[in-house]
Amino acid sequence: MRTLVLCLVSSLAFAAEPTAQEILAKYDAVMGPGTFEAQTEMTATREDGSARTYGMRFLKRDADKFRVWFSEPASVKGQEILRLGDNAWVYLPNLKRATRIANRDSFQGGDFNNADVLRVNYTADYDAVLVPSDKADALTVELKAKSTETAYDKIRLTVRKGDLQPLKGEYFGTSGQMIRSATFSEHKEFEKGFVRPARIVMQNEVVKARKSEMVTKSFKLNVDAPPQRFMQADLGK
Amino acid sequence: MLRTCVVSLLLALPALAAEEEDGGVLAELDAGAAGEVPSAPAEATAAAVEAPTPEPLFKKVIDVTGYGMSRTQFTRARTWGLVPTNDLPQLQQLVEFNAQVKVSVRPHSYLSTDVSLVANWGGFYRGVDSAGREVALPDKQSPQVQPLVSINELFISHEFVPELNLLVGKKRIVWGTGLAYNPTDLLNPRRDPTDPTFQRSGAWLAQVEAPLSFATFSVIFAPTVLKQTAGIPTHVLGWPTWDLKDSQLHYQLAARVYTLLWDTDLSLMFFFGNRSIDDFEAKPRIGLTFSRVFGALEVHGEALFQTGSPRDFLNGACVASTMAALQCSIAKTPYASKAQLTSTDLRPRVLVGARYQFSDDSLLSLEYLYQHDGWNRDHFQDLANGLGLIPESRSLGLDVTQFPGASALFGGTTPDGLPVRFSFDPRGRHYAFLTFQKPRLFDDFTLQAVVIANLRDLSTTVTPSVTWSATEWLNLSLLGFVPVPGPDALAVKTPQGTPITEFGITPFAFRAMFEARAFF
Repeated sequence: MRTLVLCLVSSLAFAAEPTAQEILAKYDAVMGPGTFEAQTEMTATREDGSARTYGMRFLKRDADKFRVWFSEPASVKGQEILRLGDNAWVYLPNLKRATRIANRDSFQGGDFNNADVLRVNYTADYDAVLVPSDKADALTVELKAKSTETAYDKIRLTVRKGDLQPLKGEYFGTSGQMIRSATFSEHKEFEKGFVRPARIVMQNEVVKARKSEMVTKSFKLNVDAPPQRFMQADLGK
Repeated sequence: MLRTCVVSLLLALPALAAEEEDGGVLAELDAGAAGEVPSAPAEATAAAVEAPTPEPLFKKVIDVTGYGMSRTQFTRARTWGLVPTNDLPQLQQLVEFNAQVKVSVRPHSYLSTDVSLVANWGGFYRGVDSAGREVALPDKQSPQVQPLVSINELFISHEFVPELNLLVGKKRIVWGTGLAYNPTDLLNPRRDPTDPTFQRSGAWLAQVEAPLSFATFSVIFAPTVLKQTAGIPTHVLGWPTWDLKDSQLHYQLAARVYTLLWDTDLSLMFFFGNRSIDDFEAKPRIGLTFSRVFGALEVHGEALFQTGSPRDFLNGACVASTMAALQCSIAKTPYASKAQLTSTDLRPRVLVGARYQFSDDSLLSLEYLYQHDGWNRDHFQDLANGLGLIPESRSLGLDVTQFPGASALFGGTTPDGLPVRFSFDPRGRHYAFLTFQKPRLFDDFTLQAVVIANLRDLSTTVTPSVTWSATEWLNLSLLGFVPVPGPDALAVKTPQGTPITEFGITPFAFRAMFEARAFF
C-alpha cells in the first residue's frame, strides 16, 4: 500500500511537472507579457558603495517591440531606448539623434544589460533542459544560447514549483564564468490574475561589490501601444 | 513494481484528466497574458489588488529639464604663427543656462522648447607689433564674447493619426548616421566633433512625416533664416527690401524614405535647395545612409551625391606674390572664388565608420570622410602662398580674413552665434575621426580622447578629456585641445619655407578648459 501511494504521488508529480520549454514560456509570459506599460526604478550600486537611481517608463508590444523613456535623474532625463526585433537604438537628447546599441551593452551603466531588460524572449533565444534543482520547492532549467547574438552563453533559471514564478537566475559568459546572478522577489499581483516579481536584484559576480536593483512600481497589461511608438522615427518625440 | 506503478498511474488518470480540462500547466502559462488567475503564492494573494480607475482622456503634462554650465577656457595664442591672433581672447569665461520644456497642449499635440542664455567674457588678447614681437592687446568686443540668446529648438508637433504627423518650428533633425560628421546634414548648424552634445541648435522648418509599417516617409521644407534678432528670425526665405542682397528665395526642401531592412537602417534622401546653407542655386542632391550592428560592432555610412561644389578656392594667381596680390586688390579680383559652383561633375562626400563596444563598455569609434570637392595639395599650396603674404599684406592694408576658411581659423562660433569649443570646417579630401571612451573609471570618471586627422598631411587635433560625474546632477570636465602639425615632408611650404599643414596653422598652440555642468 505504501509503495502504491509513493508511486501514485511520484506519478502525479511526474505528470504535472512542466517541461523546460513550458517553464521558459511561463518566464516570458511573466517577465515580458504581450503588451504592457510599466513604471520602474533601477538603483545601481557601485564599487565604492555609492548608488545611482534611474526612473523609467517601459512600453512593450508584441514579442519584440520595446520602448523606454528615462525620467530620472536629471542628467539622463529625456533619454530613450527602442528595441525592435534584434535591433536597438538609444536616443540622446543632447545629441538630438538616435544611435544603434548592441544587446550586450550595459543598461545605463548598471549590472543589467540591454537584453535583460529589453529582450525577454528566452523561448526564441535559448534551448532549455531541466536540471536538478538545489531546492525541493523549485525547478531549475539550464538555457543554452541558440546564437552568439544573445547576451549570455548560458543561463541557469530557477522557478518556484506550482506557479513557476522566477526565483533566481545565474548568467554565464562564453568562458563559462558566472558573470551575473539575479534574485527575483516580492512577487505581486499587479493586475487581477497577473503576478510577477516586483523586485529583481542583479548581482555582479565579477565585481562583487556591484549590483543593480530593479523595482517595478506599476505594471499595466493590454495598454494602448500603437506600432508607431516602436519606430526609429518616433524617438525623441 | 512496474506493474504496480502502471496500476497506480491508471488510477491517477481521472485526476489528470480533470486537471487537463482546466487547462493544466499550459493554461497557467497563458494566464499572465490572458488575465486569468494563476496559482499565486500566499504573499501574492495577500497583496492588495487595487480597483482599476478609468484613465483620463487627456492629461496635461509639463516636463521641464535643463542645465546650468560654466566653462573657463585658456587658449595660448600662437602669436608666432602665420594666422593673426588679434581677435582671439586667451582667457574666456562662458556661462550658459539652458531650459528644455515640453508641454502637451492637447491630445496628440505638444510644444517643445530648448533655449539657452549665454553670457560670455573674454580678454587677455595677444598679438605682434610691427617688429614681430609678441605684445598684449587691449580688451575688445570680439564676436566670440557677445552675450546671446540661442533658441536651439522651438516647435509644435501634432499627430493627426498615428500614421501622419506634422511638426512646425525650429528643430534639429539629423538623418545621417555619422558620429563626428554628417555629410548629408544640409539643414542644421554644424556640430563640434569633439563635443557633439553641445550643438543642439536646429533649423526652422515644417515637417510632414508618415510612419508606416514598412517605411517612414518624411518631407521637410526649411526656409533659410536671413536675418534674426535675439534668436528670433525676422526675415526668412527672402531678403528685406531695405537690404536686398538678391531677389531669390532661400530654402532647402528635403525628403527621406527610411526603412529597416535585414536589420539594417537604410535611408534614401532627396534634397532640392536654393541658396540655403551654401551658394548652390536650384540644386538637387541625393543622400544615402546605412547602419547595422554585428554583435558589439556597429558599422555605418552616409553619402551625399551632388554635382559641382560650393567650396571656396583661392585664386592661385592672386597669391603667387605680393605684386600679384596688389594687382588683384587694385583690379578688385577676389582672392577666392567658388570655381566649381556650376560644374556638372559629380562631387560626392562619403563617410564610413565603425564603433566597437568592449565588454567593459569602453567605446572605440573610427570614421573616414572623403570629400571629392576637398582641397588637394595644390589648393593647400595656394593657401600657403597666401599665408606667406600675410606679414606684407598687413602692412599693405589687405584683408587677410578674405582667405577661405579664415573664419574657422579665427573663430569659435557657429553660424547662429553659439560658441563652440572647436570650429571644424573640413577643407581637405581625406579625414579620419578616432574616438576612444572609457566610462566608469573608478565608477564616476569617464576618459575620452578624440583625434581628428587630415590624412593628406597627417596633421591632427587631439582632444583628451576627463569627466567626473560628481553626483547624479553634476558633471565636472577637464579638456584639452592640442593641434599637432604633420611631418614636414607632407606639408606644403610658404615662399619663406615655413611648413603648412591644416591643423598646424591653427591660431592657438593649445587650449585647456574646465567645465561644470549642473542638471536640473
